Amino acid sequence: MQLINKKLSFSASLALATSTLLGANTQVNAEEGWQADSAVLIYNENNGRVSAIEPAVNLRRTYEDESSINLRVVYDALTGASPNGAASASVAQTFTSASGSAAQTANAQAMTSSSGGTSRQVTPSPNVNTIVTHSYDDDEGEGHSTTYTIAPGDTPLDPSFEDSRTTVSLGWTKPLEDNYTVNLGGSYSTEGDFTSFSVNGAVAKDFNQKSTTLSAGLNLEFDTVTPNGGLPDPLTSYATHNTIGESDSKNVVDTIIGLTQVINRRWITQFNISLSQSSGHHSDPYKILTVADQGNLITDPENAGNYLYLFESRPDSRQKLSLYWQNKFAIMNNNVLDLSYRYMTDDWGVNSHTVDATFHWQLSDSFYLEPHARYYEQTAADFYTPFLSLGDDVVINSGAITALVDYASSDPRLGAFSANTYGLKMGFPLSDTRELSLSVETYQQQDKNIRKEVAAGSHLDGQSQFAELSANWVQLGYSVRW
Amino acid sequence: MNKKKITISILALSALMLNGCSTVKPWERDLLAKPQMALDSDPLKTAFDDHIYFSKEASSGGRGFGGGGCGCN
Repeated sequence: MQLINKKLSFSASLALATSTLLGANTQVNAEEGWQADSAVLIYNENNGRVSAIEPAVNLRRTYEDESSINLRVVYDALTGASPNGAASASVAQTFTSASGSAAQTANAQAMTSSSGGTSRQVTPSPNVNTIVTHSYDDDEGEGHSTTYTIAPGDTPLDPSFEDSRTTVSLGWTKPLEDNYTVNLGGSYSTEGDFTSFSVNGAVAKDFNQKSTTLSAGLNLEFDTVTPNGGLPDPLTSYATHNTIGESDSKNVVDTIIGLTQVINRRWITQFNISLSQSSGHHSDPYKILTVADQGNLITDPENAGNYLYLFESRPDSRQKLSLYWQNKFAIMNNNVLDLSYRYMTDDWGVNSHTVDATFHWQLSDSFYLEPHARYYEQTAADFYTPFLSLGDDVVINSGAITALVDYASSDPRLGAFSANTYGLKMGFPLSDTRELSLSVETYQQQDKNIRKEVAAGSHLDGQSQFAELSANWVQLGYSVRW
Repeated sequence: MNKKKITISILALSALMLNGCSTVKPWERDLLAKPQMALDSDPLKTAFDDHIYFSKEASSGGRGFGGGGCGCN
């Protein structure tokens, strides 16, 4: 009986290779019944940037024939401040969030309100030196803008970052004849300015008495972005805020092929190749770039009293290729080393390497530790730049702004950096069917960009050109089977 | 990097892996059957972590389908 159970459980772990491809399924338990996994994530970025709280529940029902259905619901509440893309400067800079059309000024002391609106000053949470004014347009009953001023030397962070997201995913897995397993799923996600719908399917076949599993999967994703304040016209003045519509879409086709191989009694390995092709709107509607002349901020020719910033612009397609190799090694009877490596390359010029190591250290039947380390590094996208230069990237003729580049973004996520994560999970199996866990992780980025030269003594001289992110998160988990 | 070279390397590696291993019999799978040996032994944690990396880095996917469903990137 013991052997049969183990065999079942093992075929389940191979089936997991398929469900891993689908990305929507939880731990496979081949025994008939229910399994519920719940967790809550508390995420915090340093320097008052983004905070998030994210509860999640995963319910799985496994049937006698080893087929299963899976439902996952994740809720995500975010608040805080996010880099708006403008460069740090030695002078104060004032911005109005994209949702508003309020007049703005380069004067650090100014706090303006949109026409006909009321204005109130709020405690600036992200940065003690940031003055924030919320303005509500009573006439329309909808528009609400935030004007904020960034102190000299500080990273321009938009303090009005606030969103909540709900994701619901469904999956169904069924073993078929001839060692085939199929998996079908779908996911729907919605947040204030973004909705996403996806469907996926995968098929896996076991060979060599289930020592080898080959799998192939396809995921189709349909996204719609509806930015607050409309879709900005790329590479045009931020203060003018011309829009090109209300919303736009992006479609993504992901394909993945995987091979899982039992090497010996102690070693299982998995190798995946995946290709992702996305087309449509990729620009971030809230990200802007500073235009500098020899390192000095310049006046927006269309909006006197404002410095010149342009909305970012990204290509309308992106192709990514990922290679992923994972190994699990059983060490002694109950300890496991998990080692993985991922290489990713895309046609935006980003190449990345990720190495991840986790050690499962079973200290007793009712307690284990999992120390975790991850190293990541990426090159910058070809169109990444910390700011645009007058003359080289942008020209102004008779008050008209013309961009000489097709694409530009100062989004730090597209810059060159490396990042280290260190974490520790503590697991408390309470019985054969219940487990409690707590994990903590800390994340730190390091700037790897080549510094863009500016004139000595200019506004951008000596200023940071990349905002390194550091973050910490805690996850509490509880699982039960019945 | 040359994508053709990568593909050839992968195929060669796959062939090596398939040839190099003998079948592990069912009664030898006691260790492999343990939950901590599952390729993804804590899927909710994996999903949380992947979502964080997806929203802060330019890479996603590899293990499964790449992120998505979020306006954060």
